[in-house]
Amino acid sequence: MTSAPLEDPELVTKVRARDPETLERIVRAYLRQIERAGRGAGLNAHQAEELAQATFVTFIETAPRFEGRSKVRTWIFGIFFRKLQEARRGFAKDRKLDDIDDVFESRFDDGGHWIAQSSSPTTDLDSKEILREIDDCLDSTPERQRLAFILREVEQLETEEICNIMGITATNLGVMLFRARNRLRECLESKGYER
Amino acid sequence: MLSCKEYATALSSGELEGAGLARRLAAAYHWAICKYCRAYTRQLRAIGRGARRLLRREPSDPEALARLERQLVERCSTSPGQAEDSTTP
Repeated sequence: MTSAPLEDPELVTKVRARDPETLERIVRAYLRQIERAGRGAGLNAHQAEELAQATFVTFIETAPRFEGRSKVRTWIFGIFFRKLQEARRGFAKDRKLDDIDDVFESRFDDGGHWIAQSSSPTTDLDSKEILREIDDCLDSTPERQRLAFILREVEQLETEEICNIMGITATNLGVMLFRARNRLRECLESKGYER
Repeated sequence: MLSCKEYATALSSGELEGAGLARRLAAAYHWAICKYCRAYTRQLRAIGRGARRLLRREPSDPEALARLERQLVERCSTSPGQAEDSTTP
């Protein structure tokens, strides 16, 4: 299901007034997206549903506080992110040093050229089995990197929106995406997918 | 001119998405002349596509999600004081 943006110019007023029809439209537009983001963040189906429920209950209850400074979707994802942090006490901050940085460095010579390169993996990476492998590789990706990757690649949110949701700078987000993408690529390569 | 390492860093961090014209042209030129970086680009795109396919499949229990949607929709019409236990599964 797609989550068409809600383009009503009076949206803020209606959300603040807890207009039932508006709230209902928002639930229908974003529930599946939030449930999917929960699974993308590593929760099982049941946990993802519970988190989605808690997110929307909070959204409905706090709707009068919505000021319209961000999009409704950003507001809801922000609630989702805080609930996720509460649910995952070990939702660790991203490390300053990460071994994927060294692995990435080791792929290049002093002039910045690739040392050894794979042939095109496109066929393999589009195969059906790859989904299981991507799932495994996501599981070994640190949680914040994983969530940043999911919000960008699966939910296709803009940089500014992800930064607002996760409370990070654009530079932090760039580092997380760099690490997540290169870690996933290395992980799949180690499973024989990219050589 | 960009090196492979600079290209790969800029691509994977998402820097190119918001970059100015000169930077994007430099990246496009590097992509055109470097088969290794073209392969790297394809790999990252395939990984993103795979993640979308993985997570955009139907949830394992669509009926449970539909039930949750109905409960939440019902809650939208309930005044705050009355809303307490209406979403308990």
